[in-house]
Amino acid sequence: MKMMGFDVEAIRGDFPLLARRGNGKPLAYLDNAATAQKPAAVLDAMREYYENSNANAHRGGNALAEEATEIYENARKRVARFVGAAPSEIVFTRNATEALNLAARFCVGMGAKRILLTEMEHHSNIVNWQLAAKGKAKIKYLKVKSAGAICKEDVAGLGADSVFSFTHASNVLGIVNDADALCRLAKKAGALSVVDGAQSAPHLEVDVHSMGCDFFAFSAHKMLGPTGVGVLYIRKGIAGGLEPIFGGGGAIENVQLSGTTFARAPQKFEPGTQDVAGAAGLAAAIDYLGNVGMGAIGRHVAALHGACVDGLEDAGGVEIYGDGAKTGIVSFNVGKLHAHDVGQIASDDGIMLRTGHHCARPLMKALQVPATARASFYLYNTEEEAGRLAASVKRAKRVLS
Amino acid sequence: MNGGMYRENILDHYKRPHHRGKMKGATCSGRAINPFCGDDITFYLKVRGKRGEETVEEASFDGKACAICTAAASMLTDEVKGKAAARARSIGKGRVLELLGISPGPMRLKCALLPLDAFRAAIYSFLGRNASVKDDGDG
Repeated sequence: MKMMGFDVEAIRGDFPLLARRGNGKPLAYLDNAATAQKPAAVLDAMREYYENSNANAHRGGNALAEEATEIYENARKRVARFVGAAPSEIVFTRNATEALNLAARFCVGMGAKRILLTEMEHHSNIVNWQLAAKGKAKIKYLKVKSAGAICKEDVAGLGADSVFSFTHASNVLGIVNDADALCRLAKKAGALSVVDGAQSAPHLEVDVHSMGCDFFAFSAHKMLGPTGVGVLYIRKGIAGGLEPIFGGGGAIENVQLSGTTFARAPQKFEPGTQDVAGAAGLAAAIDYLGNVGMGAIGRHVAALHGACVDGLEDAGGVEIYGDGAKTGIVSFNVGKLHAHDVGQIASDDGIMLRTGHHCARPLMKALQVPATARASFYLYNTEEEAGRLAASVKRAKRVLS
Repeated sequence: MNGGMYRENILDHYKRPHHRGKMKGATCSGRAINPFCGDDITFYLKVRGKRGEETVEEASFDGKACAICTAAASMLTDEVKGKAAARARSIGKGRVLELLGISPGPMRLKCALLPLDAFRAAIYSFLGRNASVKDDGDG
């Protein structure tokens, strides 16, 4: 498939793993919402760092350490530009989950007594709050209506003592919430806002300043970067007053036996030796996405989403969940077949899906299904792969009924 | 890899499971749930006989599950029916995989072994209950 300036075959050639086979068939990797594959440019950047510049960033003034520091801080600048933030507002974490855990602790630490979440959250944006809230704050959940996006009309009861945390894009349904409107609502009420961007950052052009959120979390590995690196954006006006959750070397201004004064943000939130290679890999991933163009990726993914839905509807007896999905996710069930069986047959056909509850059990309960099969597309997927999925679903129906 | 997981014997048991349904007059039952996929299997047993020489006279299962799990449950009811309780209780993972004739990866292994968990819960609830009755008697 060729679009204007979008050569999917050339893109596929940049991803070494896509050349391998799956169960003896050409590999169709349709599990991008779980994690994305990595282009050679990302792997090269990480290898290049270890081969040529490895030293402890922000420690010591030797020439090599300076080089490592520069690579690390340049990565932060690229991440900042990617989401419309200032570099000092970008904190590197291990993953989006850790970022959301930090955000929850910070908010409760700032005195939030009421936490508003939604039923469509990933477990990473539920369990973190349950842990942080214990004995200090109460949690309420917004109901999800007919698998659609959260309406701002449904959001009620926010006040100066509350925090509103929600997913920008659902990992199960692929629908996108109007983060700008929801954050504006929180701001108006004097509440804090925390946005889970794990599924949106790989697909949408994000601008945290115009969104107006206080915290925004995402992971490198879902956007072509390495595992082990995540990001927490903390709005400038907030970071200064926050006490770090973890303490240690590199995050301090001065340590005396009687106490410690901390470095400025973001360093004060990054104690210990950081994953410099991972940050370099994330920066390379951002460059790669930028070169292809987020807009072009969005259009390509939308076309694949449409082809996938058409193919599944043509296969017959398929229920698709989520109205107006935008991030290349198609969550579905085939008649009375168990999602695991649909996923297993697809896997036998070389097609990698995700099946199960997708770490979103409250949402599955609201949808009244124990599990779904999920196909999730990204820039290197093709219409042919969407067609193969439809054929595999037909085969599953044939074999299992 | 997992090429031929849906072998004929598995499909047969999946499409026409043996001893499916809740059992009336069961002497014990046990349930196992896999939170990852919602598979939910309950095993029902009729265990009778002199203490120490009980036999699994009847076995059935009920619940919602994928093909691998359903087939394993169905096969397991055949396997334990008519066996001495003491022997039935020692059936393990190896035997279940032998019956299925597959060697699933770590994720699907949970599906294959869920019925064994349910069966064990059932038989141990029976043996445990009997043991406690015995204890009461001795006390």
